[in-house]
Amino acid sequence: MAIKDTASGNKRIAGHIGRIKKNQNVKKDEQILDTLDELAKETMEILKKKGISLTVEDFLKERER
Amino acid sequence: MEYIDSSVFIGAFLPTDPNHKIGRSVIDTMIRDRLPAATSVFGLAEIGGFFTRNISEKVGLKHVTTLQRIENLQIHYAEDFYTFMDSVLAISVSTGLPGADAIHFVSAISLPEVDEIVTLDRHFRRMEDQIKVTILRG
Repeated sequence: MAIKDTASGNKRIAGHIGRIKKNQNVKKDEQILDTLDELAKETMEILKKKGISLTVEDFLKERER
Repeated sequence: MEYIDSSVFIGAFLPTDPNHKIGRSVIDTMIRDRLPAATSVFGLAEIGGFFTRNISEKVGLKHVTTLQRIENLQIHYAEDFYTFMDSVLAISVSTGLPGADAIHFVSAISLPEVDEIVTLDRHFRRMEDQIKVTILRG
């Protein structure tokens, strides 16, 4: 996805950068494994909705391009 | 210390991948036992981009910020970008390693504590004479 050269696009990216930088200073919590489980469920739901089965091979093909 | 290639994280985070269990096992052990490990900011960009493209921006961002919160996971940033990229270029040309993989390799060897690359990407076999390479298979 190309970075949009628009005010709204820049604001959105700046928001992400802010969250990423802020996150670097957040106290480390011990709920990371739970978060990964929740993310896996969320990912599975979206994959089911899209009707696709994504694998690392798809990523590696993209990486090779 | 292990350098964990982004392919391992992606496998671990994709429930539909045949390597999901083995990938999660590596990540879970690293987190639970607080084993020191490393990856690179380039790897985070690969992971975030892949999930945003294929799943959603929200899931892409969540994966990246979750990885940043792992206390014992060191994220490598190149200190001198030009020297770093010259090394990437030299590695790619001399070994045939794809550019993205060469970025990971140079990130790994830039950290003195790293003595092993853990990956799902078989291209890293080309570097087995330089560093221990563990290619996971589920």
